[in-house]
Parts: sequence; structure tokens; C-alpha cells
Amino acid sequence: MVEGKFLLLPALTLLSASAVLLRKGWRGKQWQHRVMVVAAWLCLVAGAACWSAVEGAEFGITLSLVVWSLLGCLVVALGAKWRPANERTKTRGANGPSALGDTGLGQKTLTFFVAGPLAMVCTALVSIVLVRLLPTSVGGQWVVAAFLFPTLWGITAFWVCASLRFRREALIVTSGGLVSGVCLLLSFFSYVSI
Amino acid sequence: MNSKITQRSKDQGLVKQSLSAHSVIGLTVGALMYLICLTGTLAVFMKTFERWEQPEVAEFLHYDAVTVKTAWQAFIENAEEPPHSLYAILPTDDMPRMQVSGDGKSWYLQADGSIGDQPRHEWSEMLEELHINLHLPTTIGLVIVSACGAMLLALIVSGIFSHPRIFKDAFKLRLGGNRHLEQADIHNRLSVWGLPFHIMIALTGAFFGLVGPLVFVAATVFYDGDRGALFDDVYGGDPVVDAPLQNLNVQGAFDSLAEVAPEASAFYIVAQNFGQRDQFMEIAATLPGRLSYSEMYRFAADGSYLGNQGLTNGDAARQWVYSVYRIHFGWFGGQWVKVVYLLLGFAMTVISVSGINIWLARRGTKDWINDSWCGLVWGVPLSLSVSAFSSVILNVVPLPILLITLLCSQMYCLFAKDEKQAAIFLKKTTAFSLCILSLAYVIVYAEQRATPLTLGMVGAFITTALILWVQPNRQVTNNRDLEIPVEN
Repeated sequence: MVEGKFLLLPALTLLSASAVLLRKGWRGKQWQHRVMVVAAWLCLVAGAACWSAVEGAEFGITLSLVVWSLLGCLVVALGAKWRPANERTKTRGANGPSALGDTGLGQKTLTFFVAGPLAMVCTALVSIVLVRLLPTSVGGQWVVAAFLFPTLWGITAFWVCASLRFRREALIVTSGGLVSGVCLLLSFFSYVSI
Repeated sequence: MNSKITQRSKDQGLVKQSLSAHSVIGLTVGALMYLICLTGTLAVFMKTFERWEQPEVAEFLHYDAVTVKTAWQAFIENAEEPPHSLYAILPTDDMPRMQVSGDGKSWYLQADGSIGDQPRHEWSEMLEELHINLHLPTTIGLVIVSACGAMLLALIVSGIFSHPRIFKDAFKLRLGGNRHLEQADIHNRLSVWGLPFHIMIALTGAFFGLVGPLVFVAATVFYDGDRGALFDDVYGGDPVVDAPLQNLNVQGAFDSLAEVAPEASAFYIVAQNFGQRDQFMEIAATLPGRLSYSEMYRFAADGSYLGNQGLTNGDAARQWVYSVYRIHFGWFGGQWVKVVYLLLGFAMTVISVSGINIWLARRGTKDWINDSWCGLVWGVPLSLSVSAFSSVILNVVPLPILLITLLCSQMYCLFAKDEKQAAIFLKKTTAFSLCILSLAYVIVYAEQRATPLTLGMVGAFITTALILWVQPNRQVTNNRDLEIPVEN
């Protein structure tokens, strides 16, 4: 770590520049805009590097990301436009398209409740089996499992809820859970080693 | 040409289905998410709330081995039997108070190590419990809250897929005009810019509770049900000590720590297996630039160094897993980091509310759900404020007061059947209650009224009250003129 906090100023400048460049770069598709977008990401990386040089990588990366988020919000707020009340918008009545797709809320909610707990159990089992294949320490495997499990569950829940063929997805999730469960059972009774 | 049309049609299908999933998941966990986000945002300042709740406790930063020994001796005299683990919580910049505790008993300490008041922060504990387990049975509550973390990940993924222009429109914020468009803009902009923070909070939050079921299965299959053995693999085991009984040499331990890790800042010392042959001391300390909650330095009873637990220099996974706590609560890097967490946490709360608001505006009807949602959104801040008053000023248990106030807010909104007026009333009542709380506090704790802590808290409450009082109050949904966005 570099002594002194003087590098924090360039870090903040780079992070601010990143947000501003993204604002300009995302406005068009010409090559200048693409260059700006690339420069914006480079500024973010350079800002995080500066911060890491002062306070170490752990603080540097974490703080850079949260401060960059706030700076982005600030740039958004500064560029906010006031929309007059009579601005033309497409108006619809009570029978307009639903945000919940073609199926009813009840069925979708049921889908979520079925897929939620089911996906939870299945992804927990799949996570445990998958991490046992990792070439790392046993402790490391459990740590990976602890973060893999909620990630897998979240993605699976989205996948099942977004699907039109809910039964097929439910079957796939259940199969994954069953196969993993069988592997764990066989391991428990020492028939296989995972 | 045909393939382009087919591709576009597929993309539109994905967007539609993702939006559908986003809505279903958001609606199912929306209310809980709001409660968890709001209480979590406040929990960032938990230590400050604890100090504020009990302002008469002695505050100091200096301590030495004699202070610790005196405190431990006083604890043993006050407790009915010696504890298995005897702690001395050391003063830090965040919490300049010293505490002695063991086996569920705890006392604050005077600067000389003598025992003072028992901790009394019922309101902070209620807030913490509300965030961690919703006051449900601990394990069930913890799993439910952590499941919301996993669902937040699902919402993040579905949110990205359901808004193909979310990054292109990342800087468009159109306020005023149609309420629904404004809510959608606020929801989308805060979501996309807070993305790194949201992922961090979702993953770390999901970890706390979901690790329980995972450990149960893994320990059953691979450790013959011995969860301790699994935890030893992850966090490292305790040192094995067997030595004749002797007085604990606290000064020796501090001296050894200064030698092996001069940059470490100790924040508690614990005598493990106190009064037995296998007793040893542990000093938990933070290291500069490290997110790890602590490194545990172990010492024998005579103060000689036994080694550390490897939480800052051991296995990378061990270091990462021990960093989760500070990352989740923003307890690192000083007060300004907490302010950043407060702002981003508040943004998450707004996202939860605006998500439901968008759905309410889109569904085309206006019924008790609108009123109930209004009662929850504006009833929770009021309930927190009233329960703080009851606990800190009147010494009344805060949870029943919180629930009664929340129930009253719900009833009021349901009977009023006018969410706009109800929201205004609840906001102004919250503002009024915060002012009363501040006034009562400076009267009851007259001796502490000029401390930076009191001034800061009163300032924060009055500012919040002012914002709530003067905030423009527009109707959450306008049933007579429902509009859908052209671009979103």
C-alpha cells in the first residue's frame, strides 16, 4: 500500500470520469462513442487501482464500486429532465396489457412457490455435489458451495418463473436434485466417494 | 431477413417472459424486501443506535491489561458461576465503550475496569432481529430473510433480461408528468447504478441463512452429523492446550500481539475454557486494509503466542468467508462508508417500493391492495419512530408498540381509502413523532444533550422529519389516467 491519501483524489476523478464518459458514450453508436465507452471502463479500472494502491485491493475494489455507483446516480440526477404533465404518452384503460404476461397472477405465484422451495432443495444438493469436484481444500469447497447455492437458486427461480413450459423446467430441476441426492446418499453409505 | 425477424421475435419473447418472472418474484417478496432493506439500511448504524439508547454509559478509548483483569474479576464476582468463555469487548472508534460478558450475561465497564450498567438497547436489538429473522423463530426467520437474498439475485438477473435498453437508458431520468413513468425511471436508474452494491448485498445476505441448511446436509453426509468438524475445516480448529492452571497473563498476551502483529487493532479478548487446564486466550483484531471481520490471535495462559486462525493469511476461501460480515453491513473504512451504505441501502428500499408501485399503476384497478401497501410503506417508518420513543424514553418493550402502530397504520389506510391523503398523514405523523422523540430525548438525557452523538442523532431525526414534512405528495397511482410508457 502507498503511504498517504493523495492517490484518492485521482481515484475519485477517474471514477467520476468513468460515469461521465459512459453517459456520453452510450448516447450513440459511432466509433467515437465506442471509444468513450471503452475509456470509461478503463477509467473505472484505473480508479479502482489507484484506490487499491492507497488502501489495499479489498478496500480499494469494494469502495471504488460503491462510490462509482453513487457517482453514477449523481450524474443521472444532474441530467434529470422535468416532464410536463401533458406530455404525450400512450394511454390505456383498465384492460391494457398485464405486466404478468399471458398467464394469471395466481398461476405464476403458484409456479414461484413450487419452483422456489423445490429449486432451493435441488440447488442445495447440486451445489454440494458440484463443489466436491473442485480441486481445492475441503474448507474452500464448502465456502464455494455457500455462495454457489444462493446464486444457483436465484438463477433457477428466474428460469422457472420465466418459462412458458413450467412443467419441463420443474422436471429438469427435480432431476438435478434427485441425481445429486442419490450421489450424496451413495456417498453417505460409502458406495461411492465424492 | 426472415432470420432477423425470427431473432427479434425471440428477443421480444425473452423480454416478455423475463418481465413476467421479474413481476412474479418481485410481487411475492416485495413487501418482505422492503422491510428487510429499510431495517438493513438503518442497521448500518446499529452501534450508533446502541450508544444513543444508553448515553450515560462511560466512553473512553484507553485501556490496559489491568482494566481487563479487573473487569474479568468483577464479572466472576457478579456472576453465579464462572463462564466457559469470558469476553472483554475493547473500546474502538466506532464503539468507545468497554464491556465484559460471558454465558449470556453482560455489563458495561468504567474506565478503571469496574462494572457499570448492564446493556439496555432493546430498540436496537428489535431492529436487528427484524432485519435478521423478522422476529420469527431464529432458524426459520434467518432462512426466509436469506431466501430473499437469493430472490434478489433472481430479480437482478430477470431485471437485466427484461429491460434490453437498461444500460443504454442508464442516464435517462424523467421526473414529473405521469407518475408511472416517473416510478419506472427511478426504479430502473437506481437498479442499474446500484448493481454492484445489490449483488454484494444479495450474495452476502443469502449466505448468512442459507448456509444453515447446506451445513446440515453436508455435515450429515460427510462428517457423521458433526457440524463442528465442518466448521473446523472452514474456519480452522481451536488450539489444543493442556497446562497446569495458572492466572491468565493478559499483559503478556498484549505484549506478544504487539510483537507479532504491531499493526493489528484489538477489539475483544476472550478467555476460552476459562479456569480449566485447556484454557487459552484469543484476541480478535482488525488489520488495516483488510475486510476480514478479524484475525484471531491465540495465546497460552502465560501470554505466549500460539498462532493465529489464518483468517487474514490462510486459505483464500477462509479469508473471503470471514469478510462477508463487514461487506454486508458496511462496517469498514470509517463513518463515511456507512453514509455511502445508507444512501445505497435507501436506494434499494426505494427500488423495492417503486417496483410494487409500478405494478399497482399498471394493473388498472385500485382497491384495498393500494391502501394496504401505502399502510406498510409509510407505517413502518412511523412504527419504528414510535417504538423508539416508547423504548428509549418510556422504557416500554418496543416490539408490541411497533406491531400495534403498524396495525393502526394499516387500519387507517384501509378505512381512509385514499392512499394519497393517508400517505401524507402518515408521513407528517412520522415527522411529528421524530421531533417529539428528539425533544423528549434532550429533556430526559439532559446531561448528554451537548455530546456530538446526541447532536448528530437529533440533527438526523430533525432533517428526516423536515424531508418527510415538505416532500411533495403526489398520488402513488392515478386510476383515472393510467398510462403505459412508450419506451419502457
